[in-house]
Amino acid sequence: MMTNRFLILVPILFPLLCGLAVAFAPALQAGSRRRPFVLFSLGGTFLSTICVLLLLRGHSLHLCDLAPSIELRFAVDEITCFFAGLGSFMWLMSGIFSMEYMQHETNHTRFYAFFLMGEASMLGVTLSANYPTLYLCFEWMTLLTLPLVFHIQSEESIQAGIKYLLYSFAGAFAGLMGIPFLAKYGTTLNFVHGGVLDPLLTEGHEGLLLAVAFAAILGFGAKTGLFPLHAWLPAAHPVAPAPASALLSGVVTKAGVIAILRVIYYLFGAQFLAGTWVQTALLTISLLTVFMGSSMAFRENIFKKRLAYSTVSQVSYILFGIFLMNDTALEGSLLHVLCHSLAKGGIFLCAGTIIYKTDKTDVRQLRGIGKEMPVVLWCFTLCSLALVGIPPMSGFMSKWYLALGSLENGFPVISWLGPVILLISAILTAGYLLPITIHGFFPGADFDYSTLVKKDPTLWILVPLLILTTLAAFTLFPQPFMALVENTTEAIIGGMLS
Amino acid sequence: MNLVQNFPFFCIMLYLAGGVTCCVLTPKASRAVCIGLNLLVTALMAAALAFTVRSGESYVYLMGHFPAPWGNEIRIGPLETLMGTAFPLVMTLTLLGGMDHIFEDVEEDKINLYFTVVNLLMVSMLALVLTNDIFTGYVFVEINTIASCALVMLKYKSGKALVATTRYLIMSLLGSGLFLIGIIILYNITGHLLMEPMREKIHELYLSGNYAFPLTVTVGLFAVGLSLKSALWPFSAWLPDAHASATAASSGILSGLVIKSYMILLLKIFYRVLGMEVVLSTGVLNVLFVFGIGAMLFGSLHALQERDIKRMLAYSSVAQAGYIFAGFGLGTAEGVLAGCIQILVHAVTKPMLFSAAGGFMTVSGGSRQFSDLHGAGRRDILSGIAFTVGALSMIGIPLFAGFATKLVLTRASLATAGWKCVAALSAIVLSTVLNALYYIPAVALLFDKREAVHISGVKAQPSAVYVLSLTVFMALNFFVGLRSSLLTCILEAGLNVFS
Amino acid sequence: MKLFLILPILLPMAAGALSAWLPLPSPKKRDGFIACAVILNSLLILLLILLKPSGILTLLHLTDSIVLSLRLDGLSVVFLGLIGFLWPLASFYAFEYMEHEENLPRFFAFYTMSYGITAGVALSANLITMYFFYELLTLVTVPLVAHEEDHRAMRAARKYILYSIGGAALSFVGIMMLYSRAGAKDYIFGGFAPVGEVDSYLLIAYLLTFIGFGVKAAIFPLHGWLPSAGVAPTPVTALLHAVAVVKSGVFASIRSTWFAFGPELLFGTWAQHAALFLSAFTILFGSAMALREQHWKRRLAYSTVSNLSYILFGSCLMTSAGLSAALSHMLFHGIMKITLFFCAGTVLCKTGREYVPQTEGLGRKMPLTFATYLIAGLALTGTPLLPGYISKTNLLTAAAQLNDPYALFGIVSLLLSALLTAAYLLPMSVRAYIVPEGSSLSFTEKDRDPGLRMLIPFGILILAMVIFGVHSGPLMDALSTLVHG
Repeated sequence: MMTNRFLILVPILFPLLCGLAVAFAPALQAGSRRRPFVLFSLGGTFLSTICVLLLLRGHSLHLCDLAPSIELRFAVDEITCFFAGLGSFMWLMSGIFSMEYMQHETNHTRFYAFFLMGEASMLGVTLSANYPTLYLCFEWMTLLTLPLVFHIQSEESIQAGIKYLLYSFAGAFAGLMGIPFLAKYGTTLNFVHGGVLDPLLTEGHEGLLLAVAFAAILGFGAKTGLFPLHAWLPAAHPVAPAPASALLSGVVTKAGVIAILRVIYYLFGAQFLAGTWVQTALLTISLLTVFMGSSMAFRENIFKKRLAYSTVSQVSYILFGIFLMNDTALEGSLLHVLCHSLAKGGIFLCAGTIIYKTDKTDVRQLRGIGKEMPVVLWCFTLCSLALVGIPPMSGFMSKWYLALGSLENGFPVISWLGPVILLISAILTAGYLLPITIHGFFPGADFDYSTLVKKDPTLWILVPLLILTTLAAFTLFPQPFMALVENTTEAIIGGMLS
Repeated sequence: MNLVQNFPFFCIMLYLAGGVTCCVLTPKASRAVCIGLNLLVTALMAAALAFTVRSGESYVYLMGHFPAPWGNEIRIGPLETLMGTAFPLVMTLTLLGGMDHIFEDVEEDKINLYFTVVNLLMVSMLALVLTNDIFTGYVFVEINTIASCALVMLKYKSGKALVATTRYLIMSLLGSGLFLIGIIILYNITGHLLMEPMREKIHELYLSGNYAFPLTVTVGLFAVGLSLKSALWPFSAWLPDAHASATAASSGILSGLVIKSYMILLLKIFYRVLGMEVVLSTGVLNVLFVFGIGAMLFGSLHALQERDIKRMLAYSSVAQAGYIFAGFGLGTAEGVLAGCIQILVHAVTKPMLFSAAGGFMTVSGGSRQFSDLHGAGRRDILSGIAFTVGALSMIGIPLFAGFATKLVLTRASLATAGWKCVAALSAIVLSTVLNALYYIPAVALLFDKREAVHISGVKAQPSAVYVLSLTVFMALNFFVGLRSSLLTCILEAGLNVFS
Repeated sequence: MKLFLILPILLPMAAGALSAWLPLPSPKKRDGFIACAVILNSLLILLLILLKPSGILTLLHLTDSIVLSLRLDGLSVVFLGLIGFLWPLASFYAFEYMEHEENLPRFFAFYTMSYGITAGVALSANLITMYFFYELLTLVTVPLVAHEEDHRAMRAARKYILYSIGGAALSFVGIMMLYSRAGAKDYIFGGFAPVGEVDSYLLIAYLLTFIGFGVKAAIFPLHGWLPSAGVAPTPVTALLHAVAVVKSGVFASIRSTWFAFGPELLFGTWAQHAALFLSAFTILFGSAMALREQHWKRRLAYSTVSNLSYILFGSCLMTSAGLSAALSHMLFHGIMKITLFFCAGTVLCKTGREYVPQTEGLGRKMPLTFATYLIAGLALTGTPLLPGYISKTNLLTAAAQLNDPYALFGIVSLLLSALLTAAYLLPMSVRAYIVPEGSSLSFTEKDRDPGLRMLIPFGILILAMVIFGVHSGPLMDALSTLVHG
C-alpha cells in the first residue's frame, strides 16, 4: 500500500484540530460532551501515532518553506519512534486521570484546548526533521503549554507561568544561535546521522563552533531543567494542575532531551564534540544538577515542589548519559527516559490525587495517608522504588548502565566521580521519597487514627495510575523495552564512537 | 566708450540730484521720485551688468576728467554691477513693503526728508561699491553713517529710537574714525589715494620690509573700523537696538543693505588696496574668521532668547553677517565667493522678513512682542507666507535662497584644510540647528489658532504695493535659490577681475 | 511615463493642503476626502510599482551639478510598497481615534502631506534630493508632534526639531564631503565613491552621514527624541514614528551605504566597525530601556529604537545577504510595530489608560484588541510562523557569514534583545487576560473593543503578518533580485 507521506502530519494535526474544536465549537462547551471528545482525541492521537511510527518509519516530508532558507521538514526516525510513542501514551494516561481530577477546577475549555494543542506541539518536536522545524515546534510547545501552568490563576501561578515563558524563551533563543552558524559551516540544516558540519569550512573556526554548540545545548537544556536555566521548574510544576505537572515533568522535559540529542548527534556530530572542553563542561554541569536537584528535593517540604526538584535531578541523569557519548551510557539514558517518564508521571498523579482528595500540600501532613488511600500510596511506593533504582526495578538498570558508561569513558575525574554522584543522589532520592511511604503506612504510635477517612479515588484515576506503575516496574518484562532501547541506541550512535 | 559704460556714473548723479530734490517736494511726490529713481537705477545698473558680464572685464571710469592722482575714479566690473543692481532693487521692494509704516511712523513734515535720506543712502552705498579712491570711500562712509542714523531716528516720538540712534551714531563714528586714521597712515606711507597706485606702492613696501608695523596697524584699523560698521560680532551690540527700533522699512534697509556695503568696502580694501600678501601675513583673516564663527553661534543664541520679533530678526542679522565673515576669513577665492553669495541671499531675505514683521505688528495693535503676535499669520496671510519663506531660507532648506549659501560655504570650507574646515563645518551645522530652533516656533506661533486675549485682532487690509513687494521678494528668494549657479558665475567672473 | 513619478508626491500634498483650506462642511466629509486621496495615492503607487517606469525625472537644477530628480528603482519599490500599504490603514484608524480630538483640519492636512513627502524620500534619485525631502519631512511632522499643544507636546516638538535638523545638517556635511571627491552623482547600486586606498576623508564623511541619518533612525545616543515624541496622538506615533519618519532614516542610511558610498569602499574599515558597533549596541540598549519603561507608548518607542538598529545592523554588514535581511525586517517591523501602536492607542483613546500596569485584566473587556496585541507581540519576539522570525533568522544568518567580531557582537545582541522583547511584550499580554482571583480591578463601560474603523485595520494587519510568516518566499526572492542590482 502506497502510504502518503502527508500522513506524517496526522499525529500533529489531529490533536491540534481537536484542541481548536474544544476551544471554539459551541457544541463542545457542555462538559458531558467535551469529556468523551477529549478522550476520543487523546486515544485517536495515540493510535495514529503508533500507526505512523509503524508504517511510515524512514519516510520524510518536506512540507513547505517559510522563507527560502527556512524549510519545514518532518520525518519518522528512531528518535521519533522512541519518544513519540512514549509521549502520546503519557498524554493519554494523564488525560484519563484528568477526567476526575479536573472536577475541582474551573475553565475546562481552556485547559483541554491547550492540553490537546500542547500534545500536538510535543509530537511536532518528535517528528521534526530539521533544525528550523524543531525550533518552531519547540517555541510553540512553550506557548501552548503555558496556559496549563497558570491555569489556577493564582498570583503565584501567573508569576510561575511568566517565569516558565521567559526561561524557555531564553533557552530557545540560545538554541536558535545554532541555526545561522550551521547554515554557514554546515552542509544542510536537516538532521543527519553523524552531523552536518563540513570539515573544510570548519577548519580554523572550531572554537567559535564549540562555543555555539555549548550555548545551544545549554539553551535547549532549559526545558530539561539543566543548570543554569532550571529555576522555572520548581516554580511551574507545583502550581500546575496535576495532570499538567505530570506531563511537564514526564514529557515536556524530554522534548528538551530530544533537542539536545539532535544537536549533538545529528547536527554538530558527536565526533566534533567528543573530547573537547564542551563535553567536559556539560558533564560537569549535568552532575552538578543531579546533585543539586536531589539536595534541594531533600530539603523541600512542599510535596509537588519536592517532586519538581526531583525531576531536575533525574533528567540530568539522562543528560549525563547523553553527554558521555558512548553506547552504554546512551542506553542507560534512554532506559532512564522510559523509567523517569513513567515513574515520575505516576508519582505526580499520585501526588495530585492526594492533594485533590485531602488538600494536603505539605509532606509533613501526609502521615497516615496510607490508611486513607492505600492503593494510591502503593502505586506511589512502587514508582518511588523504580525511581530510586532498587533492583530489580527499572531505575536500577538505567543507573547501572549509566555508571558503566561513565567508567568506560576514561575521563580523568568524571569517569569515577559520575557513578559516585549517581550513588549519592540515589541515596538522597530514597531519602526524599521513601519517608513519605513509610510515614504514610506507619504513622507511628502517637498518631490519631480517628481522623482517617477512606478516600480512595474512582477508576478514572486508578486505572492510569496502575498502568503507569506496572510499566514503571518493567524489569519484570524487560525484553521488549531493552530491545527498543538497544535498537534506538544503535541507530543513533551506530558504532561511530567507542 | 559705450553709452552703457556711463550708466554707473549717471546713477550716482541721479541719486544726488534726487536727494536734493526730495528736500523740497511734498511727501507723496518725494516718494514717487525716490521709488522711480530706484527703479531707474536698477534698470541702468542691470544694463551695465549685462555689459560687464559679456565683456568679462572691469574698467575704470574717470569722474570729472581730472587725471590721477588727484581726480576721482570708479571701477566697474561684474561684481560691482551685480551688487549695484541688487541693492536698488531690494531698496525699492523694501520701501514698498514698509510704505504704510513710513507714513505712519514718520512725522508728516519729515517724510520727504526720509526719502532724501534714502537717496543719500543709496548714493553712498553705490559709491562704496564702485569707488576706486579710498578717500572718496571715506566721504561716502560718513554720508552713509549719517543717513543711516537718520533712518533710525526718523520715527515719530520714539524715545527708544533716539537712544538707539545715539548709540548707533557713536559706534559708527568710532568705526569711521578708525577707518580715517587708517587712511591717513596709508596716505602717509604711500602718498596715494587711488587704489591701484596705492597697491603697487604697498607691494613695494612689503617686499622691502619697510613700514611693516604701520602696515599691520592699518590692516587692523580697517578691519576693526569696518567690522564695527558691518556689525561683526563682537562689535555688534548696537545693531539689535537700532534695527529693532526703526520703522519696518528702515530695519530692512539697514540689515539687508547698509551693513553689506561696508563689507564690500572691506573686501575692496583688502584685495585691491592692500593685496593678498599683506593681508595674509598679518593673519587678520583668521581673526575675522573666528569672529564670523562666533557671530553665527552667538547671534543665534541671542535670537533664541528674544521675545520681540524685530529684535529676534536683528540678532538673526548678526548671525547671518557671521556667515559672510566666515567666508571671507577662509582666505580662498571660494570663501570670498561664499561671502558674496550670502550678501545677496541675505539682502533678499531679511528685508522681506522685516516687512512681514511690520505687517504682523499692524494686525496686532502695533505690538512687537511674540506674546501678542499669536495668530498674526492667520490675520495677515500674505505676511505669514512671506515670513515662512524667509524662515525656511534662513534655516537653509533647498529650493530657498539660504541653501545656496550653505552649499557654497560648505564647498569652500571643504576646500580649505585644517582647523578652519572643521570649525566652519561645525558652525554651519550648529547654526542650522539654532536657526531652526527659533524660526520654526516663531512660524508656529504666528499661525497659532489661539489669539492673544487683549489684542483686538484685526484682519489685514494690505495695500497693493505691500502685496506687490512681498510677492516679488518671495519670487526673488526662489530665484536666488534656484538660479544660484547663474549668480555664482557672475560673482566668480567679478572676483577674477576684482583686483 | 516617468512624469508619473511626481504624482505620488504632489497628490497627497495638494490634498492635504486643500483639505485645510476648503470649507468642508462636516468632519465626515473631510474624512471622506482624505480617505479618497490616500487610497487614490496608494493605488497610484501600486500602478507605478507594476508599470516600473524607468529613467530619471529631473525636477530642478539647484546649481549646475546639483539636481533634484526622481527615479523608481528596486529600493524605492520596497519603501513605497510599505507606506502605500500602511497609510490607508493608518488613516482609517486615525479617523476613529481623532474623533475626540481638536484641530482636526490642521492635523489631517499635515498628516496627508507627510505621505507625499515620504514618497518623495522614497523616489529620490540622489542624495541631495533625498536630503531635501528629508528636511521637509521634519518640518511637516513638527506640527503633528506638537498637536496637543500642551507643555509636554511643545517640549517634545522642540527636542524633535533640535535632533532632526541637527542630524540632517550633519548628513549634509557628509554628503558634501562625498561630492567633493566623487562629484554630485545620482544613486548607483554599489556606490559611486572612488575606491582605491583607504581614505579617512571618505570614511569620516560616511560616519557623519550615518550618524546624521541615524538621528531619524534613533541610533544611540541620538535616539532621545523618539520616546518624547510618544506624546503625540497615536496615529502620529504609530505611522510616523514607527513607520514613515524612522523608516525614512533607515532608508536614507541604506541609500548612503549602498548607493552612494558603497560597500566596496566601506567593507572591513573602521567606519563599518563603528557603525556595526553602534547599531548592535542600540539593539540591546533599546530593548533594555523598553523593559524598564512603564509608560506603554514610550515602551513601544524604545522597542522601535531597538528594532531600527536591527535594520541598520543588517545593512552595515555590507553583504547582499545582510541587505536583504535588513529590508525584510524593514517591511515586517513596520507592519508589526504599527499594529502594536494601534492597540496601545486604541486602549488609550477608549479608556484613557497610558501605563502598562493599568492594562491588567483589560483583555477580558477588549478581547479583540488584546488578541491583536498578543499576535503582534509574538511576531515581534520572533515566534515562528510569524514574520519576525524570518527577518531575525535572515539577519542572524547574514551576520554569521562574516568572520567579524563586531558581527558576532551583533548576533549576541540580537538574541538577548529577542529575550528582552519577550519580556517586555508577553507578560503584559498574559496579565491582560489572566487576573489572579481576589484582585480588585474596576472597569467602566468605556472599556470595550473599538469600532470597525479600527478593527478592520487590525484584521488586515494580522492577515498580513500571518501570510508573511508562513509564506514569505516570493517576497524574499523579490528582495534578493533587488539586492543584486
